[in-house]
Amino acid sequence: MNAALRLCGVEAELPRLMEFAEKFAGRCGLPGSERARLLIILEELFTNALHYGYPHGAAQAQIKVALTAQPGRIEIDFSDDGRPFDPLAQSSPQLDQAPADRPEGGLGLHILRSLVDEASYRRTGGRNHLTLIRNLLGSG
Amino acid sequence: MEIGEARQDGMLVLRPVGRIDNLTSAAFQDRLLVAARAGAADVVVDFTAVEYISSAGLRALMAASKLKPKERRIGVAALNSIVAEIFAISRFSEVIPVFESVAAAVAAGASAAHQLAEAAPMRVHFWGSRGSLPAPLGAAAVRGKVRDALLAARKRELATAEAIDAFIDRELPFTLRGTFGGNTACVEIAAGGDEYVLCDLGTGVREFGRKLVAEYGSDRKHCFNVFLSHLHWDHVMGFPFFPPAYIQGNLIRIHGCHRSLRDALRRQHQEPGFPVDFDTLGATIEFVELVPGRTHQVAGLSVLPIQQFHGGDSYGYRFSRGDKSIVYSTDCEHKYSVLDESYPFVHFYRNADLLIFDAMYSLADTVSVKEDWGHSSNIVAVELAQAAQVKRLVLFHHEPAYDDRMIEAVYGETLRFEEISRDGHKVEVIAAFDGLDLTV
Repeated sequence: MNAALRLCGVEAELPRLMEFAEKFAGRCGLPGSERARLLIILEELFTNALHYGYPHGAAQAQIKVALTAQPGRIEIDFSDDGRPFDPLAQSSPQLDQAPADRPEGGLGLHILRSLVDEASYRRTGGRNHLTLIRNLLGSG
Repeated sequence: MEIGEARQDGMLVLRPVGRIDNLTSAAFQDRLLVAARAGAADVVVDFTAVEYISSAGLRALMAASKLKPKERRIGVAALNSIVAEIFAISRFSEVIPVFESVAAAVAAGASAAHQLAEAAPMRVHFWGSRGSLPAPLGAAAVRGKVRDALLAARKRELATAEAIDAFIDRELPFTLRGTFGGNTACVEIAAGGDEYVLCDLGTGVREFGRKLVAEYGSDRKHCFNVFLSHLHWDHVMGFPFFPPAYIQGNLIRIHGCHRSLRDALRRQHQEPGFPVDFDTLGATIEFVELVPGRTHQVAGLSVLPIQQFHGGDSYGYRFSRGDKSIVYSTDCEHKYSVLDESYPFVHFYRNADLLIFDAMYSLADTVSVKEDWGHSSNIVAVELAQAAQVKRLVLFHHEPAYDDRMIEAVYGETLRFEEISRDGHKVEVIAAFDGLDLTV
């Protein structure tokens, strides 16, 4: 089972992305906790792309999301036409720092990387492509 | 986003519903900060109805816990498995305290607040320390002080403002650089809680009320707990001039052992004595009758009243918290033949950290002209404080006919008497003045 969606680069698109993911989760019969993880992953991907990919404004951005359900796992293909940016190559935020000194950035990417089991990045055709695999937990 | 709110045992509980994500995190952060800043309570966010939280929500929590007032705490409780997983990934339990349940947060908060409160010092501020009638400083007294100060400054190098300040503070005696003040009885006990505690409503309460309104304006609402020693004029006359009594939303609880508390307070608001009727005052005013010999819990303090010897009766109060005690005992004419535990006040004052004591007269006055006037002397004060092993004794309720020099002379006499009559235990003697601030 698969589904795809095109988005503009404005935050107002987020509810549409969430709705799209919820429908997909419903059709696949994902348990509540996996649905929540999927929504978190997609939100972090989308807000991250807007934040890092378009230093001159993301309004004209063309973002594509494709979801594929496979036995026991979900594949997430996410692409944007922002400047080259590999979220997988970014160092983790220093979470061992005292709360007051913790950097605010990088948390979303850290959560994203922690929630997926496989991840790959490539730059082709002027676009950033991320392919992420999440192995579904049996229940929850 | 929908955020419910409830109070539970002194904590503010926020209950956001749904997702704390990029779309809702700003509103969530604002709500959290308003709660932490506006109220006087710690805040716990109940996550029971939260589906999940994204990094945007975590940033809101982090920002709120950085921007909140230092004395307020924010915690989270009842995380579902997804929220707990996100917290674990982000090591967020190091940023913000996480509790099993709201009940656990409340219990932890209460015990931390309790420990903090027990350990924190109490502050005692004297807004009025004169007995019987206000005694403003007159022109002749001011002239006398100026003259004596100038005499003391002769042949001194006082070329700069700093040198003059140093000279005033270090070399001039209290009676020249200051005054014991003329406001009648009003003592504030600041025990660290949100509610105010006041002993008596003499004219000193006006200063207290003015300072409060100047500091917080009339928007901030307060709760006052007043303990009245008795209803004689000088102990209640400040109330009609207490600005917070006129502000709607304030709560004033007047505690005392007299049956006629309410009548006495109402009466001084009646024509032709005063133009504003008691019933038109904006604040909510409650009267609480206390029973002598029974301990009452008010504003985090244990309060024990005792009946005293005074025309129409008066009552002393022992305020305790943890191992600290403050006794407010004014307007009592002590009479005893033997000073031991058989005299109830030795027991009542026992080991008090601070004893605020009516020592209106010098001994010479007490045994001659002012016997049976319902007050005690500086000598009786020391004897009782020694017998009860009191740490600090504050001479209070100064005679209005005494000028600063006379009070200073009585104080000096008291210090000498304490020294020569001391039997091992030293009592520190202090003379109250309007503005005196003590820490217990």
